Amino acid sequence: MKRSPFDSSRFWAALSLLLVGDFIALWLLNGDLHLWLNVWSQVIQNGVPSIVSTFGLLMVAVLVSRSLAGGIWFLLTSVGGQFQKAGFWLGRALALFPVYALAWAFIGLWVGRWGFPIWSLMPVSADSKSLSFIEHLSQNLWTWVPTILLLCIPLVGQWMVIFTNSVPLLGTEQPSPEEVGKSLATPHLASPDRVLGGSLEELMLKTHNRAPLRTAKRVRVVEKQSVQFPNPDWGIGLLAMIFLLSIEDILGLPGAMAKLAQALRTSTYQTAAMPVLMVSCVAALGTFCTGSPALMSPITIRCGLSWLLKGVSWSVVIASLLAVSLGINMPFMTQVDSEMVFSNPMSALWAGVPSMLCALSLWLVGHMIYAPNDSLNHA
Amino acid sequence: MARSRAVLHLFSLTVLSVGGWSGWRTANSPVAVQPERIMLMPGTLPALNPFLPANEAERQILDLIHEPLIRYDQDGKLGAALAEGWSWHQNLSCWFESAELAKQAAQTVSAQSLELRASWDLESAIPVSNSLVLRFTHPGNHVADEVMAVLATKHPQKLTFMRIASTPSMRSAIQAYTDHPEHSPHTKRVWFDDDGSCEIVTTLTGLQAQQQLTDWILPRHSFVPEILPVSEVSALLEPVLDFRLKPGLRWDDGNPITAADVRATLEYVLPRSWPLPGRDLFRHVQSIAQTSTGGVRVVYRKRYSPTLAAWTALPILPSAWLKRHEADFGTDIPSGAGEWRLTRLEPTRLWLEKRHSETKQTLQVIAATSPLQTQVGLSTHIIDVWWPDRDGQKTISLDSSWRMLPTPPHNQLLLVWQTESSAVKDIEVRQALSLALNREALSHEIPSGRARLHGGFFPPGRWFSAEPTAFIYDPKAAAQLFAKAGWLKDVSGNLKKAGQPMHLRILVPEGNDERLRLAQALALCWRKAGLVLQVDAVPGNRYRSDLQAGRFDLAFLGSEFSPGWDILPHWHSSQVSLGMNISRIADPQLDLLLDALVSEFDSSHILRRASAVEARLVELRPALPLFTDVADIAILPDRFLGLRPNEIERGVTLRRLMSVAQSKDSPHVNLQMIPPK
Repeated sequence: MKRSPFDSSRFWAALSLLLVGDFIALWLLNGDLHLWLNVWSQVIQNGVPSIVSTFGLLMVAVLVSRSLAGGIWFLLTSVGGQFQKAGFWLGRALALFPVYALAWAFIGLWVGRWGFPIWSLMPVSADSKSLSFIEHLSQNLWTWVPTILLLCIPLVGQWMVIFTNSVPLLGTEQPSPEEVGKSLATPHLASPDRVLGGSLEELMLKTHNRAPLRTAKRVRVVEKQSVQFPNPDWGIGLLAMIFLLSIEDILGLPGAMAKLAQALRTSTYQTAAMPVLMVSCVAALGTFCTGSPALMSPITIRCGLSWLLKGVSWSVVIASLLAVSLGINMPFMTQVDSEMVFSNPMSALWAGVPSMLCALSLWLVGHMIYAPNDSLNHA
Repeated sequence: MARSRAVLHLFSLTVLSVGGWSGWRTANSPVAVQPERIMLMPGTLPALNPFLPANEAERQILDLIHEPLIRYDQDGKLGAALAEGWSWHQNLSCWFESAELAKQAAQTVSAQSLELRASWDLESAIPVSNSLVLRFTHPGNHVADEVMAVLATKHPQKLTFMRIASTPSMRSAIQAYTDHPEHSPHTKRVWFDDDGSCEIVTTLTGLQAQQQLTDWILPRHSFVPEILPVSEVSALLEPVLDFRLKPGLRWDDGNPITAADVRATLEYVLPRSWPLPGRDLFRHVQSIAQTSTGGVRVVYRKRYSPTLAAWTALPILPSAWLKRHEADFGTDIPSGAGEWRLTRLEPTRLWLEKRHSETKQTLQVIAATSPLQTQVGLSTHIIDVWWPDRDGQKTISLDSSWRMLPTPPHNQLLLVWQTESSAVKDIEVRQALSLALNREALSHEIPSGRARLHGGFFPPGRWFSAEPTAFIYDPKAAAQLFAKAGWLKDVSGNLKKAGQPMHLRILVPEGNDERLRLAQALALCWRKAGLVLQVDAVPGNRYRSDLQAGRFDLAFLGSEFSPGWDILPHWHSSQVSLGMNISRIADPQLDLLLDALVSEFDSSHILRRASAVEARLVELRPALPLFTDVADIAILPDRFLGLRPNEIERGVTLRRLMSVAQSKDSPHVNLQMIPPK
């Protein structure tokens, strides 16, 4: 289904998000409309650069990650089945790896071990008059590039998973219209309710007769058959926004998400009203550009259980990210700070492993209960 | 579709390429891109009140901006600052019945033989109205009696010192009395102390002055304070310190720097309760005036040579600014006369620029940075100087290219014995206790983990400071000395004398955890020697009163180093009753040595006299010097070439660092001597 650029649903979805942000801000301000208007005027006067920077980071990261994931996936499918599977699990692991751990590890290595600067974190800004154009340009770029690259790591992983979910790993030829028609005529075989006996059965099936699809087919399939997020761009954008909460904050960028994290860290929640409005603006803009989400409801109980477990696995990732960003101590979670990463950068990566393993195992269980895309393959 | 996919891939490739290029450029470009020195200081940006620095970093910044009349150089010697030179003189002033008699007295003095006048070191004899002012080239009172004997034929008037126990609210009334036309002719001098009490020098008799003052004050105040004649003299002997200002000195607004600024600064600071080093020394100042050559003339009430060094601690501010801020110092930062001036101020940063420099030199001071930003700044070497706070020193890791240097200390911690206490009145016992104390181990109890051991009674690194005695921790020698004093160990290892165990009591102020921890460590250390130290934490008021009344065996005394060689208040027997000499040491020889030191105006003799005082103090052991404070400064040594090894050990100032700072653009020259063929 090709969406029209003037699709009204995306407009209403964006407006809904904006209104949700407004209501939250109003609630934070204890219903004071005068204050709420003041905060809006503050957003308009001072918040636009933050909104633009966060939105820009989101868009660039989503586009770059999608393109990179496509390229990697193309290579993997060209090489063969084992690599494709490895790519799938690597992508899943990357997507579930806590992004704050990546950010801290990067800082520890780049700054602590090698002594190279990250301009957004420097206590001193360079005097622009004394810099040549090239130096000025490279400095400006390097302010944003680390964030985009860090954000791309989990997004590439998630894109790879989405591609895998969309592409039949069994590698059968794309069903012809006649075959589809036949399947529809024999619903006991092609019904979405018909699930595989389990993950092992699925894996056994997938190892046979793989014939990689051509890219053109794959992209089309991605657009049409992403299961949990029929609009994957929107879902990836949502993930990117959550990840940005941590990355912008750690890398000291003046974005809306960093401001939200900083405001939430303080006990005075009223100060969070302005960042909430800015974030809702970013979300509205993103929704307007990518289209409205169309979440599906679970088809069976098994499917619902699987989704629940996968949701819990994502919650683990997001909870650990929020805990680090907001400075909340959580059991079994190692706190990462500058002192730790500057003495040993790898310690940040190790600190992210437990939550990643926890999330990954939950996801795996969910995946074993219900593997989504095999109905067509199995037919 | 294929085209859009190609565009998408091209886009990502472009982004990656550009990102990679910017990363490569960043990694290969020098980080220090700014043509200025950058300093990171702890906490928020300082208020830059030159008399109230919040920490050592602010003190050092203020030292760049403001300039005193004289300052200590890197060798610890007194050197030029606003003044390029100084000289001591002495005025002898006496008053006569008439101007004619004063003139005749001047002629009498001039009529003396040249040899006699030369032996007096007489510089001039000038009649001023009905007084005669004799000016001598050296301060000292050894010739005053001879001169007054010569002048006796002219019958100089007697001068009476009147002491009025007035309150600060009476100051205006007494000032009005002295300014009144009826009283001003016989009022020769007047000065007020901080507590409001006043002294007047008058040509009236004590009784007359008492009556006049009572009559004056009674209708103006509800009660009349105690008014007593203190002493009677025939002439006033007043040391005079002349500063020769550097030519062409001006404030930023173009006004010249004059004696009026010096006087205004002192008058501004003294009534305020700011921690001005050497505050007591400034109380001896009688007047400040401008000399005919534009210099600054300071007349003192008392001969007290350390008053010279007090001028190193008083930054001079413009009198116009002080007048504008009479009520409140405010947030407005005064312009200074220092080598550097403030050029820009932001909420978390300020910029200083060096005056009169051929090449532009700037220093950017950054405050209120997060630990992460600090760590990034230090790791990338964009920072040249870092002042770590206590937490920062523990948590932030520095690579090997950084070097921590101490800054000159300002305070000292001593362990003072109450020398009249039965337990420690024996010198041998005090010496034994000193030998039984491991000061190195004790220093670890300082919260920051660092303290600088200092065994002298004078500040380290000054030209007048004798080499302090080395620290000796010798339990065996301590045991021998205890035994010599009659304290022997029993079978359980406790020191006993006549069956009584050695039991000492140390006082610490309540709530001072640092002192409490030190006292407990001290008790632990001496427990090994066989004595019991009882640690008594008492409330602040009681602590002070107990110290002054001598109700303790030993106590920690934290004191600020005097700007000069003025340690008399701590150890002179005359200060026991005033509560300053808390050790209650009363040694006539020490008193003489201390008196001689503060009366010595010849700088070539001061070191000798200070060494004699130090030696006597070590001998008497009224206290055991422990540590000085230490504030560390982290620098990148390769950016401050030219520091001498002794400076690195002794401590450096920011001022010194900035004087040896290499420009980041200047090439590194590595010259090698070519051996002669």
